[in-house]
Amino acid sequence: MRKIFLLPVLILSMACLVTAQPLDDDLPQITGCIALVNAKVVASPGQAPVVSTVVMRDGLITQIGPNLKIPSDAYRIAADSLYAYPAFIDAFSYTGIKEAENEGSQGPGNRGGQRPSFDADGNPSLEDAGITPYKSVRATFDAKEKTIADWRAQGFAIAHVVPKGKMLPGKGSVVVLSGKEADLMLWKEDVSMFGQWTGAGGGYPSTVIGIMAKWRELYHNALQSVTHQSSYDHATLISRPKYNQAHEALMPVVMKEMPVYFRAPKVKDISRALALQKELGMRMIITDAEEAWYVKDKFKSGTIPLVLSLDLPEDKDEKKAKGGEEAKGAKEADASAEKGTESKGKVETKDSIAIDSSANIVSADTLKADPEKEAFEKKRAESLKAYREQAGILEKDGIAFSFGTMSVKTSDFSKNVSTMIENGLSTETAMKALTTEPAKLLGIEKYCGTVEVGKMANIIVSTKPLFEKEAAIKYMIVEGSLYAYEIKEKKKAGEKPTEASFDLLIGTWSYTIESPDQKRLGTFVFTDDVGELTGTMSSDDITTGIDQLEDIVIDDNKVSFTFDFEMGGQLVDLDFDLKLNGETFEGTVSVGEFGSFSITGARTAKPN
Amino acid sequence: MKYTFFIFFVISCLTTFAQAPPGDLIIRNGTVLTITKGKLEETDILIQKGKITAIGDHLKAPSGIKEIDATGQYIMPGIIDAHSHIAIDAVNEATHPVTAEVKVGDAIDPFDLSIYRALAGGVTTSHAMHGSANAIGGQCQTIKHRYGVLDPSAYKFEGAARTIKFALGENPMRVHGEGRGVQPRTRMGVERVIRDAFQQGLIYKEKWTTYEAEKKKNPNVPAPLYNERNQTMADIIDGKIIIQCHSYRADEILMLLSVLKDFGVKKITFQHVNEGFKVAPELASFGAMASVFSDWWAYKFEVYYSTAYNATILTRNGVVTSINSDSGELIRHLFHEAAKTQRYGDLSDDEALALITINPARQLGIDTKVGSIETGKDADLAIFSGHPLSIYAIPQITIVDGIVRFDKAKDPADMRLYIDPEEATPTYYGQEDVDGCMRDTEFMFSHRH
Repeated sequence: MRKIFLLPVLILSMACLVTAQPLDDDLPQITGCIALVNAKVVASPGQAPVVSTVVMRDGLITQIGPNLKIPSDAYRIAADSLYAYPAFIDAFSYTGIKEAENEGSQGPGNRGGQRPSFDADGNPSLEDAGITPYKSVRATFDAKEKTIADWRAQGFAIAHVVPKGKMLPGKGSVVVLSGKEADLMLWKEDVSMFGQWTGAGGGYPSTVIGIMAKWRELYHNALQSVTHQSSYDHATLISRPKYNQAHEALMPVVMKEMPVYFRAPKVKDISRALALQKELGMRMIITDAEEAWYVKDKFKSGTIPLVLSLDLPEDKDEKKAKGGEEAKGAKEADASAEKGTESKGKVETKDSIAIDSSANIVSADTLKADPEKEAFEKKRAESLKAYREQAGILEKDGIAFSFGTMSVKTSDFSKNVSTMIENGLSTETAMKALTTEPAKLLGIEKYCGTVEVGKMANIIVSTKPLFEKEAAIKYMIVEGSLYAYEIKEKKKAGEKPTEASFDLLIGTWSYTIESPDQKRLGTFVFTDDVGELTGTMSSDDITTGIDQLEDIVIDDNKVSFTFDFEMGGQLVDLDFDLKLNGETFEGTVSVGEFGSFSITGARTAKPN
Repeated sequence: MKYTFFIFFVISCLTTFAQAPPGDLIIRNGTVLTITKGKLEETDILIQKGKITAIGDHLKAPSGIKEIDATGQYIMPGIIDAHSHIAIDAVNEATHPVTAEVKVGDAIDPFDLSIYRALAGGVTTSHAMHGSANAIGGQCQTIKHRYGVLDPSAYKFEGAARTIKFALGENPMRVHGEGRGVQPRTRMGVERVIRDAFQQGLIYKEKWTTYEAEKKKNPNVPAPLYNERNQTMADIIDGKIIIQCHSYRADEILMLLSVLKDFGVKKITFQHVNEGFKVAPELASFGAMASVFSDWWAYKFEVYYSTAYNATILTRNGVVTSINSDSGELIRHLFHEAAKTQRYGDLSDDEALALITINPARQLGIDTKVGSIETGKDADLAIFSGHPLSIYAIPQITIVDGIVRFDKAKDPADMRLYIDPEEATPTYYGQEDVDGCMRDTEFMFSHRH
């Protein structure tokens, strides 16, 4: 599982002091004309800001320049201290896509839901096999999906979205992230084919070797279909081609008219996708890449475009260090020692734990005591750095790339781009990867990607230069529609909430998580532990026992916290975001790439 | 960038001896166990561009060439494991009783530590096999242990024969019959499934032969539907693929031989073949080969009737026999496994070592390239501190294509090339599946009828 992590307190407190909240989802649009007056306009990546006024009408940029005569019907935005940038284009995402039914049934072992049915030869239907190249993303794109507003608030105006599914989920489309209904948002339909190494669970193909074999067969048959169809059209005495919706749908792929966006996060995924491309010869774009630096030479020629993931691995050490500074104290240190995530040394030196109030001091001690572990942690740190340096390294090697948001949470987006910039990526290339590069990739560079007369009115208005500390988006203009955001001071990380606010939370709460296959029930217990808010979580149906909640933050009636557990040697995070309504709450819990689910609950007991 | 530097550092450790040009090396004054041409004392081996170019006394070598002093040490051909599941991410596509079309070569894992572990036991080549969940499993991949190379395709043994996994007995019965309620539920069912698959292959082959003939008259005639599975079965019938059949009992071994006779298939190596000793003459007269465990049995019902004399009996009956590991752990002491045949059966040194060198090479169709120390062959060599059939011998250096891939004197504590920064601190590096044959099948048992 790929997850994002919390940066250390230092960066958090400096970089994320401000946060943007949408003022109103639907700011009434009185006029079709907007004038952004005297903004510092960065027209394209790498250009210096020039103070200009930008006039937009009917979704297009109609005038740019100093001292413009502003049309009388224009809605004026006084932008004297503000910066204007071309809005972002998302090269590869699930923005606006509804969760598929039975989404939980991916991967072997988890059949979640119905058992696939088989034909006389023992093969599952195309649907069960996850071979649905004929599906258009339009069917599952929903204008009301929260992700649309969330990504727009992060600066995105255009997205290339693909359907969810298994090995061949279907065709992707380019959408404009503004509009009341799907049809108004869809711009270019069925521009791409989406492929990935996701098996069909209980049916064939369940593994990467089955998927490879299936690709070969499908590709070969689609090629034959093209030839057969052509013979049928032009020659006589040719039997009618038998219709097969998978082969039919793959015809544009084998004709090299439609590119395959292959999702390949890990280096082995990339190597295998490239091997498939080499063997079959389709147009391929490697997407959602997290480990492309291993095989960067393969991208130097530029024949295989690259879309990088914006996700970064989580740093357990930094997270623990943060936990330490919040002084969760001996209790947590004990708990983690029992889990075995830190080191055995801790259990033996129980006395010193009672004295040490922070977990990170303890782990520093145990590191000294165990050179093998120290070497291991050093390698882990080097590896972590490599992920952060990926974009910068590719840039230095002159390899062009775009960014896609498929695997990253909205809340981690700007933080991760900043991390990449701190690790060698230039701001200019970061901007290109979010504007002009994806525009080229999607063939829409004539219409968007820069702030120029004639281009689509897609503009980010921010308080500081983008990716700078404390920069926040104040307005988003998407095809001439204006979205305004309230810039709000965020509580400094680590700042203690008032004791009074504890009362809103402390006590026992029952919860219900709505996962696709079933409801998951359990209990939270929050306690005021001598001025520190602590909590535990237990589940009615999973025997994980009771475990500590981390990073509990309460802000007015909003509560967030995380719960970590280990699954197959990987750290898995559950991130909770709850809204308290007195004695009940509602909210969401996100489980990495498995998606997010709604959660509700009620307080069952209060301390006296 | 530190991480890249780190990878190069590890790789440079692996290739310390092989600086420019790579694959050039001279090994001086060792005892050379050629396997095919006897034992040569105090002999030099010259390696150029990854090939053995000369074997003899006081060889002249190009100036500047790297030299290994093997005085007092033994040099044998790199050990070949005819049956393993290391270095692949998918072992079983267990969702159908016949999956002839899948290829484990598509799932090579260049980061698998087992590759290095195998090198540490003198093993330079292994046969990465599909598992035994299906009556006809997928195509296998012979790999060279070029640990340190990151490109998965670079592990494939160029020019090795195509091989495919078949499986008889309990495993396919369990996975499909018990697990999914489909054929085969019994040994009879296994035979039926295999016969049906061959029959499909024949029908498919005929369709395409007819089409090719038709096409000469009418270039526009449409092709039949392409089917990877049937095409692979047709390739077996055409002798393009060597069957590697998981088997234990004598009756089912004879059953498969009779099926193969019916379809005119000649190339087969039986794997495990614990009751091979009962039907050794039949195997020999068919031309079938055998790859066995030295003394591993009784781990399930069909494996009770076994003997440690199996390899010897098969060898004495003229069956080309190898000893394999089927395990990422056993793979590193295959030389011990071979030595057991001297305790159980008095095989000669050359016969015992042939079980893990030239014989598996024959079974994998790579005997013209590896498996013995001869001029012109690949420089895949293992240097031991003593005679490799002695329990006191310790592997010192392992060479693949003239490049040192393992050197006991320079053996870092942590040889991982891929570090997942989110992975929990391991208690030890790399976990081994002992029953590799049934990997990726657990989910088949989660729902029963």
